[in-house]
Amino acid sequence: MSTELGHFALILALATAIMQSILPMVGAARSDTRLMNVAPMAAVTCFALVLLSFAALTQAYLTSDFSVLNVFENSHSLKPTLYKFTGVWGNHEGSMLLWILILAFFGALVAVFGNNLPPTLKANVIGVQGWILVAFLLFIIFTSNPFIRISPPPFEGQDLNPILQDIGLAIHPPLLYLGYVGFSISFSFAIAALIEGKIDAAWARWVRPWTLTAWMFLTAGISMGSYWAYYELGWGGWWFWDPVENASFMPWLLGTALLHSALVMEKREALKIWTVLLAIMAFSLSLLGTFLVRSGVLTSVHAFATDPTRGVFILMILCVFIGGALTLFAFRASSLRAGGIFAPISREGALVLNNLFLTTATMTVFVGTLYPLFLEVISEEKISVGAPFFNLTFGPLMVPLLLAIPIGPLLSWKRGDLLGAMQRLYVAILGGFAVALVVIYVQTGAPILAAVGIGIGIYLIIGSMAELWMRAGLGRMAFSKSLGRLKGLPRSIYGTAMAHFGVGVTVIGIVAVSAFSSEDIVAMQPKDQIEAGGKTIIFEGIENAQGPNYQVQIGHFTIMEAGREIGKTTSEKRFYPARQMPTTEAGIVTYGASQLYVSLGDPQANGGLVVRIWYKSWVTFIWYGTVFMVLGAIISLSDRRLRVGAPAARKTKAAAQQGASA
Amino acid sequence: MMFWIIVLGLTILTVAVLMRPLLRDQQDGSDILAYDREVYKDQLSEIDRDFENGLLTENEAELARIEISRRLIAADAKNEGAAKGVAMSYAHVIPIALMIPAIAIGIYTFVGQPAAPDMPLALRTPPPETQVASRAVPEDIAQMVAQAEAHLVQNPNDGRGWDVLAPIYFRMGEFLKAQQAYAKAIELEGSTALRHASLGEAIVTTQEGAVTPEARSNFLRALELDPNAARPKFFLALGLGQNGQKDAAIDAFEALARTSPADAPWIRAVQVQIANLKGVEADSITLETLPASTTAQSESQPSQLGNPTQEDIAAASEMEAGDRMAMIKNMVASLDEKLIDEPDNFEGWQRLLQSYIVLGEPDSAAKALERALKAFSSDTDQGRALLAQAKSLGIATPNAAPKAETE
Repeated sequence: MSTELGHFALILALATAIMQSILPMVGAARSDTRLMNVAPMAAVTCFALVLLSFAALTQAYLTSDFSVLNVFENSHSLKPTLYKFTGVWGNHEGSMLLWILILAFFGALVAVFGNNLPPTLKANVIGVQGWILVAFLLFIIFTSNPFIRISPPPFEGQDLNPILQDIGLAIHPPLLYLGYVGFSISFSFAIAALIEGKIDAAWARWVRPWTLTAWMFLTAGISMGSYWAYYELGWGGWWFWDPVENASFMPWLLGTALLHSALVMEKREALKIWTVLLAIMAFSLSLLGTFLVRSGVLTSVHAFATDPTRGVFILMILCVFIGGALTLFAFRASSLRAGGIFAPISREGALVLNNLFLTTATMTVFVGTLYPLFLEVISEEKISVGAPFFNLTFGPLMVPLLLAIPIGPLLSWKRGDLLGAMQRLYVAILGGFAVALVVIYVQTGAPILAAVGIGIGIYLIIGSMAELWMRAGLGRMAFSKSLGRLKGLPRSIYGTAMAHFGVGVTVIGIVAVSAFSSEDIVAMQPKDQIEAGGKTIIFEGIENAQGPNYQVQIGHFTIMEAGREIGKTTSEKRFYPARQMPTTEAGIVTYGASQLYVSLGDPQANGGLVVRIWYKSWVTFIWYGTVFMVLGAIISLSDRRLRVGAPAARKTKAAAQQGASA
Repeated sequence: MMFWIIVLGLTILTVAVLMRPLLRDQQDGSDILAYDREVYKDQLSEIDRDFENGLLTENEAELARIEISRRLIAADAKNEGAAKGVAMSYAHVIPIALMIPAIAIGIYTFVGQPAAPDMPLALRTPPPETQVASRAVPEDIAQMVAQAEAHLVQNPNDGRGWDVLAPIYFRMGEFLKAQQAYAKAIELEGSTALRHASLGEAIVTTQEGAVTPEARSNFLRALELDPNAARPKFFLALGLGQNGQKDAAIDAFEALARTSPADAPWIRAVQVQIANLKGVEADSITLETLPASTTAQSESQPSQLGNPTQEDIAAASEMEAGDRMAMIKNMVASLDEKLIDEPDNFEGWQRLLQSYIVLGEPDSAAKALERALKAFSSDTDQGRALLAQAKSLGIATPNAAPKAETE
């Protein structure tokens, strides 16, 4: 019965979403508070109903109820409980349900925490969110329903794709979806503002925390996905320029641009049209990503099921929302008054530069991802656009952007002093050069670009602190006074510094791992040894064993340094009979920031085994950097400026609510 | 029932929560612009703070203040009318409220399956296959069989051993082993009517009641060796019926009855089969037979070691005629079950269709055909073959839009 209740709750959520999409917007248009007040109620109810539905599906998975087609197709009674749970979203239907759950979740968040928003804006934002909900609920109910039953039910399921039977599945999709779908709120804000015709500095301030939240989750989700691919696919790569990865990277790039342009809009009321367009495009790219992944246009580990009707349905959603939004934009954009003016060299100018490079980079990725698909449709010619294309186009675009990062925050608004800013950065610039020289010196024969790359990274790290240093007046006044000023700085400045610091860390990781890593592919007999990263790896032999739902070959390795054993690791090749699929589990040992990565290949006729061994220099910096970026976003979110804004009459109520929910 | 009560409760709760704001007077909402002012005031105070901290020069701070003040004034200038907030009447709210259950319950009855219960694996009994497979075998017989098997592994050319073991396997329900044992016995000890008939029966049973060509050739060979044997005649007639040759089958059964004594044990089975073919009650069939117990000697067989006598065979096949029906029913059910898991087992479907007709269940056969056509759409070769078979067996075929059947 719980399964059918879940099914009904999903449909009741559709009915609620229809109300949510109509009543508040009619209310906003007629200044009717009664109708507008339906918005938060509907948003919260909708979330509760989708949650109920999600819980029912989860229950079916946990109890291996094979009378549910979705469970039969993607689960197995012998699967460990954790993977029964994560398997809920490890398939097309379930992942769409999670998508909708998060969509409803953001609507409910605006309902609960949006007390500082003017009632009409809030009603419209929740209303637009309602439209998106209606579209996707129709999609799931009529083309991807996870609650379809089979009778009589089989006694065993077909198991989950083994690559997905990993702890990564528990974390990566929910985080990524929180980011992807989070941009729906920025989109709803943009559409609501266009409908009301009221786009100003206040709007920019209201939309900012939501964008920041989405950006934070997307950063974490992409980073997590990258690490997952790194250790699960067994190829040692951390980014593949795979279309599906690109699909998540494009909204991230535009989201980053949006964060920065919203800053200009908030401070100076400039870049209004541009910011609204970015808000629309960021979510459009999220939708495009969903379309590419779900329609089966792309084949990858993410394409759980390919079904043309689904593709057509998502394409329709895509056309209606992107087309509708851009049409509305075209009608309204001309009526927007330009905001504050500024000189080319100023904080605004630096942020425009940032936007320019980020959007160009997005276009590059867009072309590289879609051109092959387009060409295949037109001429049936298959080409593959891989890492070389992106390295040649995306890479050079990033260099000026990275160089500009520390300068921007040091320029003042309206008109700035570039020379002054550069002078203030001399420590960072010198530090970067010095480290670059040291790297050249130590790694003689190392590519000069690597040294420059590391130099840029160090420059970013030191430069990110420059704003704090300057604002605190360190060195210019008494230390205690500086400390006091440091304490008084808005948290968003700390957030900025932290996020830019993270970019530097990631850059160093990327450069180091591409330049200094070693790779060996050798056939090994037991007791053979090989050198990697100054360590000796001894192959101890292979062991056959049986996992809960797979057979496994485990390779044992001992790691020696200077004649002394410093650790052991195992690397596995698994075979899942239910799906007749093999997977690899790489053996990864971390030394400082570097990692030793051991992956098993095929057995040789002479009893040996092909083993791939990488020594990945400073590879973890790539992901540590993203951790700093996420922390930066969290610190920024805690800034008091993002919380104020509710009129006095409501302030107490809002504060009480926040206290209750905290 | 419980399900619908919860559904109703959930719906009413949703409607109540959503409609509540419409039915209440709303106090605030009079000043929408207050929200804008709040933001700009905060921006002003921020500039003061930055100035105090020495982050802005006096000139910069002044310019910024002017800019924000301008926005503050602009915000105040947009004077929008006060919002309405008096409670709506029920007459207005009820039509809106009714849309929620109309949409939700309307779509649910269309796509949902309210009667389908949850079926967690832990609460389900294991598949019937495993119950059928392990029939209880008395321990002493099992021991005897094990000994015989051990003996035959050592002496695989002991034809007599196979001859003894074969009927025991059959009785134990190990039809495949029985089949192999009979085949071995024929190979080593020579053809007899009894061995071929028994092998044929073992094949029919393994094939869940279908008289396959292989079984048929065995029955024909048995009949060649002993033109009066009743068992091959019975199964050949059954085979005719399964091939859709109803009249020929009825004739064959009636011919069998005519050469059988009135008290022959298989008479009742023949009656049931004819009744099935004609679609009437078995008791309404009157058969022309020989007088009781006159030709019992005609089926002369050289008596063999360990083999049942003629009377035993007759008794056994009579006993089995009733048992066989039950057994076949059981096996058809398990075949049906199996085909849910392996819908692309083409021969399985053929057999299932035939079996349902043998059992006299044309409705089940029609349903099975429908499912089979989902796996093999009617525009494929297999699909056409299935349709042709169904036609010859007289199964109702789904004529309307065969494509629609394939989801």
